[in-house]
Parts: sequence; structure tokens; C-alpha cells
Amino acid sequence: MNKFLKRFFLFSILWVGMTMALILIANFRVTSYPFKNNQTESNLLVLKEQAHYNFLVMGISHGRNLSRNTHHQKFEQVFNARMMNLSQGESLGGLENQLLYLRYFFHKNNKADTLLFVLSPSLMYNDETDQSDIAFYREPLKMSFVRHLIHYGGDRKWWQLLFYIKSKLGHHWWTTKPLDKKDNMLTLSGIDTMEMQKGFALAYPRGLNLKIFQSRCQVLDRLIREALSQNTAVTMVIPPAVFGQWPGHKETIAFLNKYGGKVKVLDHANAIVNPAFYSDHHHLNTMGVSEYLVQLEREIKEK
Amino acid sequence: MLFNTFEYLVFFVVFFAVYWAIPAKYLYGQNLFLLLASYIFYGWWDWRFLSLIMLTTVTSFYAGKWMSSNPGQRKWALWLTLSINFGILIYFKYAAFFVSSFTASLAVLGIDINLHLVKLLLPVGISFYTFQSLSYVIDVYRGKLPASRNLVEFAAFVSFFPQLVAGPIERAGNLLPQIQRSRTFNNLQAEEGLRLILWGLVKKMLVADNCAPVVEQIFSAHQTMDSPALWFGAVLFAFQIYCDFSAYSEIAMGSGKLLGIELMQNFNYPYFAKDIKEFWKKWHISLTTWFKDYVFLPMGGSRGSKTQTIRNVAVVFLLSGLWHGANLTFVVWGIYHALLYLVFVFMVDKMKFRLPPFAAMLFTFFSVLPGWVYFRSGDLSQAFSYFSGMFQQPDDWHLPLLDVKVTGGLLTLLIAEWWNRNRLFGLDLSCKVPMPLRWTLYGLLMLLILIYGSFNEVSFIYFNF
Repeated sequence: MNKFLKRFFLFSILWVGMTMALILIANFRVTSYPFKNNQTESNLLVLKEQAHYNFLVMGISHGRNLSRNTHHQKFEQVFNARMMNLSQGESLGGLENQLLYLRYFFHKNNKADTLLFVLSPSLMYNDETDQSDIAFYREPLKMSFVRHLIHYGGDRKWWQLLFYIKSKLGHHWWTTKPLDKKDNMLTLSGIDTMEMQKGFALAYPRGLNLKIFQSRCQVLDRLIREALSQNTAVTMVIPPAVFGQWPGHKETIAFLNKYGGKVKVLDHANAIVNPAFYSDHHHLNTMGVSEYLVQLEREIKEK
Repeated sequence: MLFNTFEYLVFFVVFFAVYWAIPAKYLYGQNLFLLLASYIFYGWWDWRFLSLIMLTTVTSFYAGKWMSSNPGQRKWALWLTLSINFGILIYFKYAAFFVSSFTASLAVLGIDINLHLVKLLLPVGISFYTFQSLSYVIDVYRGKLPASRNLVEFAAFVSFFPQLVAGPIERAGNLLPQIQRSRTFNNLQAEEGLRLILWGLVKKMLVADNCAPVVEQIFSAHQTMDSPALWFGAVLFAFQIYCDFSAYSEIAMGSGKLLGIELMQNFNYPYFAKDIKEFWKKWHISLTTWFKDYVFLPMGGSRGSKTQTIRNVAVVFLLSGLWHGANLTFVVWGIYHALLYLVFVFMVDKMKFRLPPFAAMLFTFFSVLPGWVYFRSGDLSQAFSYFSGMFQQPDDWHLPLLDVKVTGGLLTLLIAEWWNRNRLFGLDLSCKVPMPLRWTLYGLLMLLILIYGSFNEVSFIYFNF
């Protein structure tokens, strides 16, 4: 048996060692690119240490959209400010994950004057994306983030960690490089009710579940308190959609209003209703983003 | 506790260490520990069902003892044990099906009756351990096997955890003597066990579980799909079920080898069979031989008239279908295979014409596909609808997009199994292959599982049976 065990352990050590080496090579290859916020959907590839930003944008795809294509530069031009975007699109984002990123942002001694949280009401009714095992597949492997995930992660943190590490071996990671910066010229031709219903079914997998809403309120509360404790002003924005209000809109606004003057609330659900400004039912195209940023900047100043 | 989980890994490592730490001379202690671990393994799903396996064990054990010491009353003991074991199986697995079929038949005749039946949870692996215990009782009755004198040994045989919930359905003649004698650790056997486990995990996590979502997508939306996509779905399901089920058997065999116990081969590359008769010699061998030995041959097998042979074949396939579950889709699956088998035996096999080997393999593979459509469908109407869709003129020739995981998994499977088709399993490497090459291959397969394997802890399909 000793011979068997020795060979087994020798093989295991060799395999783990070579796998880790592969992961590190893949990781080094990607991290050696000079990524900018608009050139990647990854947050850790662009997150620095001891940096100061005027705006920290967070949320799901609607927040990420403010940095996609050429939008990041447009934002910084319109606001005449420096912005960091830590939103997570592609159905990977959730409030728990956003809280994790926010804590990591501060943990790295970064500062932000204002947290601009793009709060899509579907976030308040969906706890599944928080537990997505592949939530961090786009992130480079950083030991400090591994420790952070182990310390602050939720129920699925060990699975998230496994997928986070093993994702560095995947084809997608080996081919990761800075994205091209082009305008999003896609235009929504009209409102397709069937398509909208499909979208709602995905965004609200358990409908307007009150229990989920309450648990999400608690997470959002922790997130707001975390930002305020770091002397970061908090502005919550309900993003525009061609159909106007998302299900659960009123409840979300009612919750946010409880914070009174501590949190600015900008309800932009109906801000842009022209389909020509959208690439789908709730994502603005470049023309829409340009239009919207002006309005957003004006209202933030006014408030 | 699924084989493809960390839970099982921890369980097995701890078990392995303690099991071999018990000196071989304390066989009773080793078997007692094996029994305890098997009950923990089984109770992990639902501890309440332990009472059923214990009842089956105790009745079969004492029936064997009774038959041995009272030869004149063997028949009574046999019938009593069969009644109890089949009674449990029928109650938990088929009662609702038979009652609903009965009331539906009466409704056709205009008689409405309301029979309320509690919907019961199906105890995991009940069909497997019931058949395993029955084989023991029947063999003792026939005088082929001496009755076991030790309840712990016998209980360890019935509940041997690697094959408890999805087979292979072991024969007492093979497994019980191995439990009754002391076991010594064998390096070569253990290494082969690890290879079997690795190959099982490749089939389960890389092929079966990656095919599963595509199959689900096609079967659930089959009404909106064109015939090429439906054929494609059926082909994928054929590979999914083969990989899922044979993976379980191979992991069971591998786990057994690590414990010094040899389990029977359950699959022998069935999709490389050149005719349906050969297919049934290669698919789910433990169940097929069970039915052959305990149903087909006692009924006369193929020695009687043509009509008797047809009847015997039909009964075996019908029972085989029903064994899988209380659903008419399984019954139709059984009837379909009976027809295929009979047509082959009485017509095709008698013709002088033979297809070239590769064409014969393809023909056999595609002839079992319609059966898989019934097997996979939730009910008969879905199966009919899917099946008719397969033969309609397509508007769209596009196939659902296959990702690298599914294509890569299938290619790995086919290349390895074709290469090793005359050996025990797809990763059955000869010692002549140099160690660095073997280790590189194992490492690559493990990397493939890590990168492309499904880690969703998908249950094995045959747990439902």
C-alpha cells in the first residue's frame, strides 16, 4: 500500500503544481495588458490601490453600460471627473457581489467622492445572481481577492472560489485582451411585448417575492452604510428603460426614500422613452448614453 | 451522496483509511465497518429508507437460512421472501401507477371511482438492492449457493455502498464470497480502480452532464424544433444516458477495486454493437443477465416453439421496461426493444446478407434511438409528438449550437472507447504504456474535467430507478 500511496501523492503534487503553473502563466499573460475601464468587463483588471475617483459607479449591466464602448470617456467628459466602474453585467451581478467589490475597493485604500449606484429594481428581487458560481470568471487571480472572498463571501463562496480559480484555464481567459472601443449603434426597432416578458422572467426568477425583497433591502442597507462610513456620498439611480418602470419600482423607491437626505435618489425610469436611444428594451445605445449623461449630470448638480 | 461530489471524496478517503487500517485478520470488524459506512452512505439521502433495506436484508437472510435447514419448506420460504420484497417494491414504485391505470381503464368503461393514494417518495436504489437480494434467495433455493450464516456479511453484501444505488446488480455468487474472505491491498488492483474512477468522472462530468442541458432544451421545446434538431437531441440523449449510467458503474467498480473487491462489468461498449442482440449483451449487463437467468430461462428461453420464444422475449423486455419505472413510456420502450429483438432473431439474423461492420454499428445505434425518445419523454403524448416531429420535412436545417465542452467530451469518449474497445473500459491502459505517458494522459483528462467538466453536482439518471 505504501508504494500505491507514494505514487498517488507524487502524482497529485505534480498535477497540482503543473495546474497552478498553468494558471499563473495564463494569469500573467492577461494581467500584462494595460487595461482601461472601458476595455474590459473585469473589475480587478483595472482596480488600482490608493487611487482617488470622483465617481464610483456600481450596479448590474445598466451600470456597466456607462463604461462600455466609448461611454466611459463620455461620462468623464460630461462630468469632467474621474470615474471607476465596478458594475457587473452579463447576469453575473447582484447586491452581495457588489458589496464584496465595494469592500475590496476600500480595502485597497481607494477613495471615491460619490457612489453612483445604478439600481435596477430587478436587483431587489433576484438573489440568484449573487450566488452565481461563475461570478468572478472574468477577474484575474489575485491572492488578496481570494482572501477577501473567503472572508466576506456568502453561502456559495467556496464554489465561487473554485470556479474563480479554474476559470483561469478556460479558453475565454486565454483569449482575453483589451476590447475595441467602438460606439454601440444598435437601435431598438420597437417594443416587443413578448421579448419584454421573457426578459422579466429572467430578471425576476421568483417573481415579486417579498422575502427576497426584504433580504435584498438588508444587503443594500449594508452597502450604503459601508459607503457612508468611508465618507463617500451615495446617489441611487433608477436607470431608464424604454418601457418605463420595472416591476417592483415603487417598492424600491419607497425603500430608498427611508434614508431621507443621507442618500440621493434619482428616478430615471421614464427619462428616455424613445426606442431609437436603446439597443434593447433597457440598455441605452451610445446615442442614448450621450443624451442620458447630460441629464444625469444636470440632476446630480441640481440635487 | 453523489460520486461526483466533494462529500463523497471526503467520505471515501476517510472510509478507505479506516477500512485498510483494520487488520485483515479482523474480517468481522472490517465487514461491520463496511456495513456501517454503507448505511451512512445510504442514509445520507433519507435515513428513513434504511428500514426498507434492513427489512429486505433480514427477510432474505433468514429465508436463505430457513431453506438451508428445512429443505422441505424451501418453496414456502421462497414465495414468502418474493412476496415481501416484491411487495415493498410494488408499493413504493408501482402502486400509484397501477391504481391510476386501473381507474383510467374503468373510466373508459364509464365507471368512475375515486381512489386516493398517497404519493410516496421513491427510495433510492430500491430496484437494484431488491433484485440483488432476490438473486441470492433464488440461488439458495436452487441449491446453487450455500446460505449465508453471518448476518453482518450478508447485510454488507446487500448494501455494499459503491454499487448500492445504481448497480451493477451483483450476484451473491460473485460478491458474497469476496466479502466472506479476508482482503489484502493490491497495488495494481487499486491503480486500476483509480483509472476506472477517473474514466467514470470523465464520462459523467465531461460528457453526460454537459449534454444534459442541451438535451433538456431540445426535449422541453421539441414542438418548436425541426427534425434535424430533434434527431440531434435523441443522439445526444443516447450518449448522455450511456455516459451517465456507465460512469456510475465504472466509479462503483473502481471504488470496489480500491477496497479489494471486484464488481462485474455492466457495460461493454454497447454503441459499438453490430446488431441488437449484441447490444443487449453489452448494455446494462447485470440487469439483462438477471432477467435471463431468473425469468427468461425458467420460462423456457428459446428452446420451445416460436410462439413461446416470442412470449418469453416479450415478457422479459416488458419487465425490463417496467423495472425502470412506473410510466407507460418505459413500457413502450420495452415493447419497442422486444420488437427490434424479435425482428432481428427471426428475420434479419437468418438472412445471408450482412452489413459492413461500421455500417452495422451505425444501423444498430440509430435503431435504438426511437427507444430513447420514449425513455426520455415525460409521458406518451410528449414522446409521440417528439417522435412524429423527427420524421417531418424540416424548414430549418440548423442544429443547436454545440459548444466546445460537448463536442470535445464526445470526441474524447469516442476516441478512447474505440481505441480500447477490446479492453475493460476506455482508460484501461496496459502496463506496457510507459509511466510518464500514462501520467500525462491522466493529468490531461483531469485538466479537461477541471476546465470543461460540469461541477453542478447533477444526479445520476439511474438514481430514479
